[in-house]
Amino acid sequence: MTAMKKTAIVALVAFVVVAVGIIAYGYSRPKTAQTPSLPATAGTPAVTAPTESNSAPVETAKIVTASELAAHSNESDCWMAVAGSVYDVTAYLPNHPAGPEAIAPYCGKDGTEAFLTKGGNGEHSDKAKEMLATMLVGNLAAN
Amino acid sequence: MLTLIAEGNHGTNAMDDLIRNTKTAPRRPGAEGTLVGIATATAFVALPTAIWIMSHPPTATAFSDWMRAASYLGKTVSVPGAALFCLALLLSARIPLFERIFGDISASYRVHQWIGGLALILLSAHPIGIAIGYLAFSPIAAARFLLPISGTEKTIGIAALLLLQASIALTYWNRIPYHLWKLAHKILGFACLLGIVHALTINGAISDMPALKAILATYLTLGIGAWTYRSVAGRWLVPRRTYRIERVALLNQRCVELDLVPEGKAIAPVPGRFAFVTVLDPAVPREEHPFSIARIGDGGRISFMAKDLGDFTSKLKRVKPGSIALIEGPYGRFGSEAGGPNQVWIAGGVGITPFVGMAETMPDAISADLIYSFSSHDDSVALDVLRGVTARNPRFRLHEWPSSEKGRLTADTILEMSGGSANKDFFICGPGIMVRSIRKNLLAKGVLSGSIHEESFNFR
Repeated sequence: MTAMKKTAIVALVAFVVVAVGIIAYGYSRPKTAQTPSLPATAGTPAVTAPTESNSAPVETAKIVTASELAAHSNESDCWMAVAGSVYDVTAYLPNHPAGPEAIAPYCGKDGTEAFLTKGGNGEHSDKAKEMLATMLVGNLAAN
Repeated sequence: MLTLIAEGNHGTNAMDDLIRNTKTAPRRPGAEGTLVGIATATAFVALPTAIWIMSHPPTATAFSDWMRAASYLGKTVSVPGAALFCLALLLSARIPLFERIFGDISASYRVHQWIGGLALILLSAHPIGIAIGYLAFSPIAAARFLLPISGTEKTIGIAALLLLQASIALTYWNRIPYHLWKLAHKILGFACLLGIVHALTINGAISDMPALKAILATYLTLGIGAWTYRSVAGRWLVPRRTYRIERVALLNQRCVELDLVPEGKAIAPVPGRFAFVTVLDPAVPREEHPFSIARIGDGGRISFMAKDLGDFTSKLKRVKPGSIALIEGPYGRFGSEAGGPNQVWIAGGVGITPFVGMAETMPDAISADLIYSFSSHDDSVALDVLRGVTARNPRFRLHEWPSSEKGRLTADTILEMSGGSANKDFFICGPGIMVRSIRKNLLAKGVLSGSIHEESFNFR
């Protein structure tokens, strides 16, 4: 058997082990209380984050002031406000399908309109809304 | 390139024509082809990869921790992985152009196997890397990403990857029946199609890059086209010549010789080359297998010799004369024209086959020692033919090596019998273990790599 065949077989086995491991780990995490829902856009119902998430429970969500929000304003430390809630999207930035540059301008700021209209390109999917909800930090303090 | 016209008087018109047209060729003609092949394959993969990286350059943020790095690499490797997959399909089509680009068809098949394995590794790493990136903020999101539970485009990608992995795993299984091995290759075409559809439609990535989209769409067209030509519509599209099997002779308990005559246009047989043979007889499955052309006769007659080594070859002795065979070829670069005037031919077992025709049609410019290793004389074939050539051609010397009496054939023995290695080309054909061992030992004795020529039919 050639060296490449052996390497490919090892890679196949590693794929199965790692994939099963990630799936098992993800579904083994403890379920939390329901997280706040994101507002509906015209014609679509509001989306509630799935209960099997890893974000903080609602009862422990903190209040985030505007100045505290503004302190997390770059790609390596990025909080964004959407519809009155504040989300820590730092870890997600590299995974954003349209690239981190689509979110980066809203680090430390209110990105409600950009999120709800997908930057003027329609609306984010329910899956995207569910994913955002898992990154909840707290609620933005009212002015 | 120096061209010589050689004349011979071997008696038959076909052989006279072959000898008159024999030309010398540069040593190791495959070497230039291999370099061109490697450069071509590299450019094929580098172009789309470079476009992707220029649009998604690695940043400090992308590598700020190992999870982000995994996510970036997971997305990036999908592009060369897809390109390699398409290239592997292209190479599997057995198009003569690739034989010229890669040196010979055996080399292009080795490249096909290598890049197929690399494509599998990169495309398997693609979803794992992205899932690891998701782990940073949401383990459940990472788990759901790996499952086909949301997003049609993602589900298509998962299906493509699983088909690719299952098909390639099957082809790696040494004991897989031939028809299942061929089926696994047919499935790979569907996997490629699904994979490229995934790449072109998944949101926010390649779909937003017109140049990269066009390149991958082109690669897909080429790959699927090649796959359709060979694996789907090969029965109608691949040019094969029709021959009638005139004689089926048992050479010994395990070897059979088939003599074929063309019905219509014949292939252009060259001693030392091989062809893919499909026998249309109820005794054997309708499968194509490569066989060296053993002998070439008048009127386009050719013969093949086969040893009982597997499911197909064990049934060949039951083929009836008068049955039809479809021949595709010739292929390969194995033959006396690939070397200089002084040659050493080393045959193990049924590996004697290409040397029989080479001995009978040997040009006057060539002097050769043929060292034929076999277990015992009961296992040998074509010795009468080869002894006849020795008797009438002083430039051809036959050394018989029954290993049951004389032990294993070694490089020392070969060099002793042939009078040393200076200014000689070595041609080896036989079981893989023997070929690799002798090659390794000849290299250790100072024989240059470019002076060693091998014939291997390892297409599995």
